[in-house]
Amino acid sequence: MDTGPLLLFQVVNGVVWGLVIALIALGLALIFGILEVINVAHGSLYMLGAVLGWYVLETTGSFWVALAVAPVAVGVLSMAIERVILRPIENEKILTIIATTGILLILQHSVLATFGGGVQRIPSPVPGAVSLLGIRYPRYRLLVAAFSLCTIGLLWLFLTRTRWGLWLRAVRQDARMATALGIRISRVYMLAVGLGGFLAALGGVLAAPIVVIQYQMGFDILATTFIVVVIGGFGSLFGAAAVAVLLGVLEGVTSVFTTPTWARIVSLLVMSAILLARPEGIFRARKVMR
Amino acid sequence: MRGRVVAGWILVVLSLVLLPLVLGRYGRFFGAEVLTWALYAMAFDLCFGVAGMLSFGHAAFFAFGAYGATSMVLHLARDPWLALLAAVVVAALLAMLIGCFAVRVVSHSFVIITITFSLVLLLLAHSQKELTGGDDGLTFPPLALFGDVASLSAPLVAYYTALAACLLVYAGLRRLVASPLGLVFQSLRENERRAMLVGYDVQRYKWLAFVISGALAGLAGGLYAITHAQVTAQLFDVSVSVDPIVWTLIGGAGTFLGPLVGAAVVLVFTNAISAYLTYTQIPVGILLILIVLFFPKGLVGMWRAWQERRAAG
Repeated sequence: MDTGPLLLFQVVNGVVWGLVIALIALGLALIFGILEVINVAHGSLYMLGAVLGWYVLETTGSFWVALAVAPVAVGVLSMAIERVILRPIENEKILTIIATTGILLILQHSVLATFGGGVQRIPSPVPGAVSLLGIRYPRYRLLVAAFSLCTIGLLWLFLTRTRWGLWLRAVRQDARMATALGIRISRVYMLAVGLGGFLAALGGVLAAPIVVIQYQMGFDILATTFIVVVIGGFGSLFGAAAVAVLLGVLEGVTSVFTTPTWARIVSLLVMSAILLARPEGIFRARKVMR
Repeated sequence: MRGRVVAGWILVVLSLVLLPLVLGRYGRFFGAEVLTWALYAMAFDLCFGVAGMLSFGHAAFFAFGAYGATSMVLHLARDPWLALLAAVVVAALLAMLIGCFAVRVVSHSFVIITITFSLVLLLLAHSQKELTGGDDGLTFPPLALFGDVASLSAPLVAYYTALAACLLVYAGLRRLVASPLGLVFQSLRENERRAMLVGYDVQRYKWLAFVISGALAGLAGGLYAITHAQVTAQLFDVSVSVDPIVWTLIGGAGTFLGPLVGAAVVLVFTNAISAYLTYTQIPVGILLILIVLFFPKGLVGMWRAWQERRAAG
């Protein structure tokens, strides 16, 4: 293949992968925005989604059942984590980072104990490829992109058009005022963490047929989503989604000219440079004083 | 009171010196291992517990130190002291570079920047196999401390080398923290804005704390290299960055004794249960959460609170 079609292929790939990252990053941004907790275990929830998805697929034989079951299960688990572990320490930000590190260790090594250290693959649930501007592109990946976009759209509708969404936004803006107005903050926190875990696991199941499933797959995604959320601006949910897609395209395009490892290094360095130049993120107006 | 503290210290040091006499060959080797990691944890504590910067990328300094020492041995001089010197210099240079960028940002962004840099180095280490040896790593014939005497492949020599390094660094760090410079470091943790308004160049002091911490982490890496006579690219792994965070928190941050105790407790604990349980990190994770929930000041913090209560009442 010469450079032109390959470049196009990688750009499309970057957009698709960026949308999956966006789902996961939205979960992370939601948890951070509402609770101000840096969820170090977020990558592990993504990994857990993929692994649970694989188990459900093995038992039921249907990828679509896995796509429905695994994220909900991880979401419920996340709510339990919020209730039992995070709530007592929600005012100690450093402690929450450490506690989620503990959760990371437990989740990752529980998966290692049950799932094993090897890798598993899921065959594409929608085989075949479509012709797209002169390249052949896997049908499933296009479906993933569409599905992710729909989910992001639904999340936006949820946040802006429903009562719970309003409460979430209110708590993010001013938790004390929200309490004064009668919003039950503890429920909102639980919902935010549950939703965050759900989105991470959803990303995991969607990514499962594209990547290899193994117990350490969360580490890599964690750094990427962290960077995306910070650069998108901690305040801006959909800024994070936009940055995720940009990052995906940047990495895809770079990988045309060099090895995947170097593409990754280049994208990490570019993102660090942006972070250093605009520590508040690119989608957030600078405040005069904090 | 002071006399009792001194007596207590003499007792602790004496028992650490005498400990190998009751240990077997494996016990001595394991003891050297624990002391090496404890040194690394103390180095991390200067950055996190004292100066208040949560670094998620200290593995880079440890690994650079280990590879710096190995390069010295393989290419320049087969001398353990020069190897340790190389370890410190290489890690300090890396910390100077990363520090330039990292101290410009605070809290979350600092965490992210340190993760990013260590991830870049991890990717490089695993891709440049001809340089790092990849997962198989690089090996060299064991060194001896003084000419041909005291081979470092002997567990007893490794143990006492690591113990000496640990005690020296502990004493040095305690002195540093009590010095005027150390007080500035602590003010960064307590109230950065106030330190700035009082007139300190906050970024420069953060950079300095970061570099000293990185250099000492490199020393630990060098110690690891000369006692194992082997280094692998796995030293760059994320888990090597997470470990000192866990140990420091379990022991108690900002005390240097805490990371020492934390590393020893966790490593001995995992080593003990590894006979019955393959996945030792699961109970460590549970322990970490329990500590955070019930004893946020760590084991040493608990001990000190208990002492104060006893003294008061």
